[in-house]
Amino acid sequence: MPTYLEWNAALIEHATHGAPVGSTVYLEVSDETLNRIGVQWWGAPAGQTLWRGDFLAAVQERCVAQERVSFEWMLSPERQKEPLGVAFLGAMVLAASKMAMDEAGQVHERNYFKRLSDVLGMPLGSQGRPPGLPTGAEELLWAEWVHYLRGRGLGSSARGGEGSHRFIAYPISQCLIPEGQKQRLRRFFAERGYPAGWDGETVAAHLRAEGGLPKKLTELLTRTGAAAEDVYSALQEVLQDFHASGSQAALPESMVSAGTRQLVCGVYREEHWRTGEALYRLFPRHPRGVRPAEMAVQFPWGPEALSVERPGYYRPVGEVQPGDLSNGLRFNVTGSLFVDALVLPAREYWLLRRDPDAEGMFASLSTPGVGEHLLLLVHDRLLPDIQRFKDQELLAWRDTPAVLGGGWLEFHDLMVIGNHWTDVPAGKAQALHEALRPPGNLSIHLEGGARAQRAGAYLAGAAPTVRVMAFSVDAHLTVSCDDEPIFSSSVIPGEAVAVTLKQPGAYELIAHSRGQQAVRSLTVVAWEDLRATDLTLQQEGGVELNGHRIWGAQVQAL
Amino acid sequence: MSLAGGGGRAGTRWFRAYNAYGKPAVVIESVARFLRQENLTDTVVSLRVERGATGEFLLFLAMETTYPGVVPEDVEDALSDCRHLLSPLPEPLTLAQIEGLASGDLQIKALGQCLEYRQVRRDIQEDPFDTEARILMKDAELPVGAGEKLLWFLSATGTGPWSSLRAAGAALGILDAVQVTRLVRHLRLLGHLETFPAGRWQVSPPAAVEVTLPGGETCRFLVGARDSRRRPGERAEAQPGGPDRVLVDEAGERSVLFSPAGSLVEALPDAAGFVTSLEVLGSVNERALKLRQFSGEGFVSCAGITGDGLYELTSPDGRSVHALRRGRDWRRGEFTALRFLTLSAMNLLGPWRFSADAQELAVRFDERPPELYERALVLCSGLLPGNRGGWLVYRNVTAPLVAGLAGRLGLTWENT
Repeated sequence: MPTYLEWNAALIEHATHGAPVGSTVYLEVSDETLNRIGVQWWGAPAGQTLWRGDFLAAVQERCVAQERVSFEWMLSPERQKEPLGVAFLGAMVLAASKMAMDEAGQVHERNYFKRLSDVLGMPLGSQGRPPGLPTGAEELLWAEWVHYLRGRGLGSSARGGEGSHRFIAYPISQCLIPEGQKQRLRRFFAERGYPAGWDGETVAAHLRAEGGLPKKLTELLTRTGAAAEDVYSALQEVLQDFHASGSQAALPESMVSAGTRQLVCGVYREEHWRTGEALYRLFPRHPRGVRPAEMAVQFPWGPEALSVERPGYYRPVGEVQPGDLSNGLRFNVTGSLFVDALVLPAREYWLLRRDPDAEGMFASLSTPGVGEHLLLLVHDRLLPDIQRFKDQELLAWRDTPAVLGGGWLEFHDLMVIGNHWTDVPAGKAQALHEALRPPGNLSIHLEGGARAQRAGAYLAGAAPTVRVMAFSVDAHLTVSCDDEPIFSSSVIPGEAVAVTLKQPGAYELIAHSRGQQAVRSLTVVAWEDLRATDLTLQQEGGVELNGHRIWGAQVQAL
Repeated sequence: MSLAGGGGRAGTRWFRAYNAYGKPAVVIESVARFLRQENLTDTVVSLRVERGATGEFLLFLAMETTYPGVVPEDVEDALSDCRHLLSPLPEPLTLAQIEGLASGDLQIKALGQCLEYRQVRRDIQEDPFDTEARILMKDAELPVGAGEKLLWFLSATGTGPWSSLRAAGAALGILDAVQVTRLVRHLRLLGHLETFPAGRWQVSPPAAVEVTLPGGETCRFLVGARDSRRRPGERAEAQPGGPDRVLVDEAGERSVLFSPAGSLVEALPDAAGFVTSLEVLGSVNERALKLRQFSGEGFVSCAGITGDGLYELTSPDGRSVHALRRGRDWRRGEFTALRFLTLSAMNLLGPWRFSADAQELAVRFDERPPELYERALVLCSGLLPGNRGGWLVYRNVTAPLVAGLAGRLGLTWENT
């Protein structure tokens, strides 16, 4: 039986692996989540049981002594290390997830802590909380979790509530789409025949167009920017769960994670070094909650290994022709029990951002910020709407669009210059209209600099230039390093800010303008703190020549 | 970036209509200028007019105020100073209502909440794999410790595009692309790194190389990925132009490569085979390019393609590449390899000089062999070649290795 610490490590990996830098992490724990983790880490549970029972037994054994919660040992003096309280927090979230399933109405604090006591296998104390867990004690554990995520360039959904909901809001905030809503979505997917290969953005576009959803889901679909990314990610997960189960009904509990999923791709744009010709490749997203495995994509011309290139994404593979953009692609994937295919959804457009790790490259990477230059890859059937957006002073771009063939066009250096999208009808370009709408009034841009690893960390002496972009004439920026304020001043939007981020440390940048806020985190590391990546001769690499592979000083006959 | 706006009154969006007269485009520009001058664009965020309107028309102002229909007094006073805004309709309107009042599409003029389009600054495209001759002649020293720190960066990242390597180099004070290219070449020679024509680089797996010194004793040095941590018994020797040579007493858990130079020589093809391994370029349009041909000493202008040889091809945008013409094929590779193959074809290569006593091999600077062959010489010692009066001197090289390498390349060598 896995120990508490093993569950703790598994939960951290499950929540953070596959999360792109800058994204929000939900510590969503349900029977389904625990089964998926358990099956991937330790195989099928014994008999017809669920991994939930094993998880709770491990938590109770380590965190409960003599019918009292023992939590002080989880608080770590070294905040850079993996927090020890994540499995305990997971049990708190599990208690909330069951409540959400049972009752559609109000959640009362006492009811919640009664559930938590049940989960911890102990009676409720006289203070209305589990004995040994004084009011607010769990906030320290949530704070450690948030700090740990921030150090890795990730955000957390953990938020306290108001009044009597202050503490129960933390576990409830870990679930973006409650189980009841997920079941509604599964039924919806079954009725409308949504295919497994759609990405979250495509699912959201179809849901918006078709309507008829509950209020909570409709509200989620109005979100923009990074908040919309979270919704897209959650929708894609529900769709994949639905197809993995093969049924709209609730999944058979012991088989809950046995189904396979698909890797959904975006596109990655490179240029030929000599001709400048655009070359498109598949850019697979690393699904959250799926453990990395040695997988290969079976292309018609042979297999290509999948390797994680940066948090949330695999290295680009294969190639994409203009016709593939219209029709989509699907290839088998081998090497994992949990992934069986790689798909490129058929879409009418792709909004590509500059790859911050590769000058001159563009990729379908998360939601653009205000004032960012983009490359719009779009089918010409949307051209009249795009031209209309330009006429209405929403968009501007450089030069005439480049023709790729198959009806596909590239708009270079496209920039959203207007914020009056609600006043301009979307026409046939509904999804594109949603995607181009700025996520808010302002963004913080980080430009240049040298990144240490693909996790958002910059090298000492090579920090990026900071620029606040806003749809207003003024903004205010505060910068802190390791929680100590180092800069606080009004800044002119669009101009480089004279703030130096030289010293190694964890920086947080917060910009305000007209009641809106934008936050960016970044880490600066010393050269001496860089750690060599694990690399062996068994991995793919080196150059092939004369029937041999030469990699550094190593020579292998092929 | 410049930006229109001011005042800061976020709130409800609604519309007010005015009876306007004249040419709509002129009226729109005049009103927009007025609103910007008066700093009213946070309240009046856009103007609309029916497309194709003439003479008498409705001009709609999109307003953002706390309450619909209620304009702050100071803004109301300012608006009444504009000669085109004297006849407002009394009721506040919604978007649907103004669309109902217009017989066609509405043209929008955004005022507040807009950004000025910025032109993108384009960096000059570098081709990191076309090592120019001047790199090899340039003997500027790199900043102290830069090679070692760059290796730490490469080892932490594993693989990446050329731009990331350039950015890390710049952070270390190596701003000149030529110097970065030079350092990267040295990292390849020392067995730390590979680079690929598509523009990516990849660090090599860590290993300890074990070689026998002229005195018979054993020497072990590290190749491949590493970071700043040193284990007991590890000693770093600085060397100009590259990372440290790290000597180790024990290999530990690292794999040990016994005299890998010999294995490398065995694996390499002869010169003819090497030519066929080079990347083939597509067609070369000699009319669209400026051509210079390698004479054996330098590049000289030529009117057209005159036969086999090494050419410098410069496109109208100023980008140059070096390419080897053999028959109908154009091939591309690192410059030293192309030059060596050309000199070989011209019978201009001199013999190598070998000192059996010192176990040193001297190669003329301008005749250094293709890089993978040169890597075998460097891996004999883990040291970059010394530079002695126009000769590159490689250390701890044995006679059998010289014989094998010279045989592969069709060269002669003299025992001095």
